[in-house]
Amino acid sequence: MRKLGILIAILALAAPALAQNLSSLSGLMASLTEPHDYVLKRISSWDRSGGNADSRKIGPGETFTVLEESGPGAITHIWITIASPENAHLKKLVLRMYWDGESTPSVEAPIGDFFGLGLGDYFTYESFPLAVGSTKALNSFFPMPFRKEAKITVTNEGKLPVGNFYFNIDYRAFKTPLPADTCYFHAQYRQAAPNKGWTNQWEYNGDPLVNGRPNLTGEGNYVWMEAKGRGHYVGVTMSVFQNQNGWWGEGDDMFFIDGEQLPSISGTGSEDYFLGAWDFGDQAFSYGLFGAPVKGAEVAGSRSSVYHFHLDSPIPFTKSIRATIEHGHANHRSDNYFSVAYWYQTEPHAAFPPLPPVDQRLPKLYPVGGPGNSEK
Amino acid sequence: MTNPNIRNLALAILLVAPMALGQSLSGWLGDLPQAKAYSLKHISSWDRTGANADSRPIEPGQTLTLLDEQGPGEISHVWITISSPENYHLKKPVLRMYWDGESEPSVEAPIGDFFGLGNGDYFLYQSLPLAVGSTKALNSFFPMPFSKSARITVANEGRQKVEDFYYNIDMRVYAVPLPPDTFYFHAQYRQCTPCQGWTSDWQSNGGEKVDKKPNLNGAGNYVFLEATGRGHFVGVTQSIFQNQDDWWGEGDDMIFVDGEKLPSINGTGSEDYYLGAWGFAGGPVSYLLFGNPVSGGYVAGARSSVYRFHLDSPIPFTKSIRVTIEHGHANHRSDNFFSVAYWYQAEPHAKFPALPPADSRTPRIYPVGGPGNAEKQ
Repeated sequence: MRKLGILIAILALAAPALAQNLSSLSGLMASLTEPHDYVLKRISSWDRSGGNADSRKIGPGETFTVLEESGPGAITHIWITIASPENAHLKKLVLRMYWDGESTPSVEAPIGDFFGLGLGDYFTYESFPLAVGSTKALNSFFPMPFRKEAKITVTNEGKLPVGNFYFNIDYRAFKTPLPADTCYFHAQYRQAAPNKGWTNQWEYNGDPLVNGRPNLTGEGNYVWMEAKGRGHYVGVTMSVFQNQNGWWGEGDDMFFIDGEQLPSISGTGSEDYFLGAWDFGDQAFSYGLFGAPVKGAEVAGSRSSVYHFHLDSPIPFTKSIRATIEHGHANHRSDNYFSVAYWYQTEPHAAFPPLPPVDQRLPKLYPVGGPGNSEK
Repeated sequence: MTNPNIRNLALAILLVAPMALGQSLSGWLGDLPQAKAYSLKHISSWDRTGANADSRPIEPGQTLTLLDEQGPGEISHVWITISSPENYHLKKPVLRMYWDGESEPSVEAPIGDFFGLGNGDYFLYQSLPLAVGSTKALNSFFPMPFSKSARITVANEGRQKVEDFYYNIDMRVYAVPLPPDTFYFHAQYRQCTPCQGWTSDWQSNGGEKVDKKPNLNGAGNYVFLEATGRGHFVGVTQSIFQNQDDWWGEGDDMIFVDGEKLPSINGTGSEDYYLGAWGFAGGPVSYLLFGNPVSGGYVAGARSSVYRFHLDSPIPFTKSIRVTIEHGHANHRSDNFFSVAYWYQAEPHAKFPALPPADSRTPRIYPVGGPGNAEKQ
């Protein structure tokens, strides 16, 4: 009886103890009635003199350290807003996050892309982990645990100073170490400007030349992320700037887990992966787990932004993962893609691809040929 | 293993433990495959004769008891809708909740304010814990546990009869006691009509006289909440009725935990605290954890309603907490603020400030001077 009682007590305590240690969307409401043992700390750009100069400047070329804190802890919320005279400053400022003193960051992305704004323009939307409020208010609710140290920097790769960089970051300072198998937050930027289609001799997406082409191995696919170690993929935000006419999203998602030659997860189309259907109609929308907050017309020059978060079931990997999507059916289209993939894993992470130079990150139309596009 | 009930309980815990640890969108969806150990009780104004008179009237001066139940239990949802001929009936009936036979309520607020409607008018919005549905449908999903008893009352402090007060409240009836360290739900109403600015002699928010004024210790700040004990702050709904021109929200949030003289949590501006930016210039949004469902213009007479829920990280306190925000930079503005702060704590709670009389709760313009406002002749 007594042993059973202890067992019950341990089991009853185990769930809340772990649940409260790391913030997540899990049990947001349920955990309200339980005590929390962390101290809530706010890292903010507030004016230390008590005046109203509550922001920081970031000169061209400068790297500003937003946060540098000792662990154990977990960042649970980031809020940032920016006043800058520079066009496309969302693409020119680079956000980086380092955990436990690592030399290469676990997060590296243009600041707009990190928050789902991949084409250099602001728009307002809400998802569970990321939201842009009214107006130009960048919010992340991804839990970001760290054992020893967390460091967040923003580098201004633009030509003009950022006049006002405002931030408020909430983190939990823990009294006890994180569970040994805690996975760390990661985010990786990629782009293809342009994706190279295997042909530009097509007239429409359903062209027999295109539709008969097989792609089972994912060769030439656009890659959202590649990672090594143990972890789980949780989603992607992607923006598309079309070089060609027609629907950009005939490409299927393909996920290669733990070194697979052929993907064990294969999808049916890009808007299907982003949990819409039929080109998203003509309707932009933002939901908790998926959305197409920007939906352009189906012509060269159009812009779209989409996202999908796998919070219902993150995709686990034990050795490696490669998350990809076709650009057009079997990669026949040559549009421009910009994406940030989000995942959790134990450190160390694999090397990220080099961040493209600032000028190459700006959305531009490229002479790729094909419908609506004249080659050089 | 002599007691089969305990053995079954242990088996049940063993079976559900991995599920409880699993990632899920929210406790709600992730918990669905778990068998439920509670029974669901529905407390409602439904017509006991089976006819269609499914509401209750509340006379002026009358206190209606909506719910009076024995624990252990947990209220998981409250739905209310009101038909009343009285203007500002959202500000005049007062909602109170009492846990475990306490003499002072743990929740005390005008009924509209409790649901985020602080200026006496209805609007629609959705957040995770509070939502106003179509139309005039007041919903709360805050979990409200109690060990011994729960009592919810509504007192009509208006001059006219509430003709129809409809309610449906869902509660979980537990067979076993609550965990001993369970926190109780609390909500506290405050207002300043007007907030007293330190000057009315200013031309614009950004003037040097205003911007350079220091405020490090929060003197004169508007107070959302003061509490003593152990618990965590989970958020606030606030409404603003501007007496003066320009943007109301230059004030920073300052949160004092466990008796701090200087706040350990400092913010950068009111719309920043509510997780928007730049005066909410992009118009109203209602998100799950934050929003500005009503965004007035930047002029005297404008109305705004905003909210923020710290469900990502409730702010813990072990002895006390004081949650404040400036009204204008360093408290230079003299607008009207109405707010309800929401938190959880172990009882007993500190005494609430006296609820202002019904008449003083209705939004009005006050002659405070400054831009857009003439002082008394």
